[in-house]
Amino acid sequence: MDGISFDLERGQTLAIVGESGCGKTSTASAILRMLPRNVAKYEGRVEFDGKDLMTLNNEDFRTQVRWRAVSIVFQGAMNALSPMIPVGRQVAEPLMLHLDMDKEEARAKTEEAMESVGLPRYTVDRYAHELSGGMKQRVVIAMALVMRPSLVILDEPTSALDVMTQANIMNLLKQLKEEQGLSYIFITHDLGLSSELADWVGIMYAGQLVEVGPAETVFPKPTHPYTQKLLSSVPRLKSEEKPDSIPGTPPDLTSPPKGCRFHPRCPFVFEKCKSFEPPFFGQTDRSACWLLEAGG
Amino acid sequence: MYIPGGAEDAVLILDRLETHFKVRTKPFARPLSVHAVDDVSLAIRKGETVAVVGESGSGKTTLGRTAVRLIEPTGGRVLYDGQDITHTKMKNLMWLRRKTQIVPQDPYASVNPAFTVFKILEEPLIVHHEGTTEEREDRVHKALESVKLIPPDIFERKFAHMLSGGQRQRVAVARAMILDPELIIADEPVSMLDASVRVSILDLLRQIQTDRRVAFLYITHDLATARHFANRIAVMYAGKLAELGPVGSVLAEPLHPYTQALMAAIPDPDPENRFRKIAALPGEPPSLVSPPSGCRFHPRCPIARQGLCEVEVPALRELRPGHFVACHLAV
Ligand SMILES: Nc1ncnc2c1ncn2[C@@H]1O[C@H](COP(=O)(O)OP(=O)(O)OP(=O)(O)O)[C@@H](O)[C@H]1O
Ligand SMILES: Nc1ncnc2c1ncn2[C@@H]1O[C@H](COP(=O)(O)OP(=O)(O)OP(=O)(O)O)[C@@H](O)[C@H]1O
Ligand code: SF4
Ligand SMILES: [Mg+2]
Ligand SMILES: [Mg+2]
Repeated sequence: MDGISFDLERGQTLAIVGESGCGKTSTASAILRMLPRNVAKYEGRVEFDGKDLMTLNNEDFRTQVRWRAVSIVFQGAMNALSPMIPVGRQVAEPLMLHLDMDKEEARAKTEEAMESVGLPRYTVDRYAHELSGGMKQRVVIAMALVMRPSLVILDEPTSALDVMTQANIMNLLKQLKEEQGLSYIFITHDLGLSSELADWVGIMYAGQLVEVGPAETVFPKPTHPYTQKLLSSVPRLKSEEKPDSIPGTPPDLTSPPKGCRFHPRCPFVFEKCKSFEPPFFGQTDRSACWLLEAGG
Repeated sequence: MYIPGGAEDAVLILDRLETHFKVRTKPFARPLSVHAVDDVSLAIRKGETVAVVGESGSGKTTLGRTAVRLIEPTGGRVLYDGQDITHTKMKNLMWLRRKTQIVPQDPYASVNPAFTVFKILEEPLIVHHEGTTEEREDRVHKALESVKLIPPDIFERKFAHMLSGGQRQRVAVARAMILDPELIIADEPVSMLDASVRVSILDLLRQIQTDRRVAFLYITHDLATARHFANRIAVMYAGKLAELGPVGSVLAEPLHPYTQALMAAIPDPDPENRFRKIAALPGEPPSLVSPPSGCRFHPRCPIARQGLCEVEVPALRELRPGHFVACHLAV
């Protein structure tokens, strides 16, 4: 990921949408300072509740921010639940570790968390293999909520699930947002699904954010050519509109194209695009595309 | 023989097809039966695409594989070009392996990464003793051109592991096409691919279909791609057909409550979506070891009528021209 900037108001949801390998998970890991060992460069600023998180040392970040203020539902987390330990113990772990709760208290809190995600209290004593995919995903969401964070990052929270189970999980996420006033960063490759939660939409391409704007404008009238192409490539269920494909494939990120990274696939490409990286243009809906340069 | 939707000009007919699997929960325990496909009657016409849609575990793959005798049916009949092949010996079915092909779901598993593209495409020709070395080379080139892996002499020398997911899936399509089949079973051919390449693979399949009048059984859990790719839709629930009809008719007026729920569960991009709850079905699909009595959908059905739905198995009834539904209450 390269030069990503956005802000998010309390209680709002930003959906980050992009194709496989564009850097969505990397963005999430960067926010939570959960970097892979081979990271070569990590710079910029993350501010939360007016506080610059970059000034915190790793220990303070771990105890004050991660899980407690900002938590995450990892991509594929439901398949990473331990088969040996009852799921309740896995949900309760951070409570005992970070909040020094005793066993009873942690269990009570965990049962509450289970109930809040629509699972019966006795689920705490179950093992992962006894649960269906939808139930495991609810457990993983309970895990992210148990420390009562105000921002939850959801990384492809439903992509391993069936459409009907997915619909039920989306309903749950909507309900939790309303009840607890949560903010979400919702990561997905599915534009249709992103509109189930998004107040704001950020479109990523080849490691960069190319458009950010309110759902009300991005879905009907995107300004970046990539967003336009991506939207018209979605087969619509409720309209006759024929989907259109995008020629070419996303670039290799070890040597991304010069200038605008989308230029080799862009139908509107002109000379400037090939050598100069476009800055953001626009007010509420901002896009990094030279076509939008004043008067363009 | 009664086939809902008719069987004129059919390349493949499934007549009351049934596939049950025997499973043991413990060693030495009495084996149980998984009713993966139950009493499915369906014909695919020459050059037609029928989409089979349903949740995971509803029996779509089993239906597709039984249809070409890759799985043995437990009951019912399979007819190819009017000929009953249900019990034909495998050694007499080499022609079927040529006339019907499969495009599988996972391009990473289906295409051997250690083979060159040329070898992957030439192999079926060798197995079926087709052509001289030069003729085979020529056909591999043509196949690569038809799936737009151009220039073919560059692509044929690449190893599969050097290709992107979309390119591998094109190779899988080219391999399925190379023997000039009449019927292709495409089992989730695009579900592993990114949005921007998904449509190009479906366009490619559609073009092959119109150019060569190939029939497709398109297996998917995605009603939206079915809408744009298929002529007819067959909705499966727990091993049985719930609804069958022309795409336009089924999606404009879904008659089965399951089809209605499925449509509600798939969002088109729309900023209004976030202000409403999805009308999703509660619960999970039933166990196929002991499927629910009567209508298999009744435990999850929002309109089930007691005394009827859990008692009687609903028949497929034609309520609109060519549009069939298995629901007691549909009108
Ligand atoms: N530890 C790592 N070392 C080297 N490259 C990595 C590492 N982690 C990710 N990448 C690369 O960085 C790019 C972005 O990866 P990332 O996982 O953020 O993508 P993503 O948008 O989440 O994709 P997906 O939708 O498939 O989950 C990819 O090209 C990936 O191969
Ligand atoms: N070889 C087998 N032995 C036992 N049971 C099987 C076998 N193959 C499939 N089944 C069972 O039959 C049912 C139907 O499976 P099938 O793979 O046909 O479903 P599907 O609709 O293709 O699902 P998916 O969308 O997940 O691919 C499932 O309950 C499955 O567990
Ligand atoms: S900057 Fe140029 S290449 Fe990039 S998206 Fe805009 S028009 Fe296309
Ligand atoms: Mg990811
Ligand atoms: Mg399947």
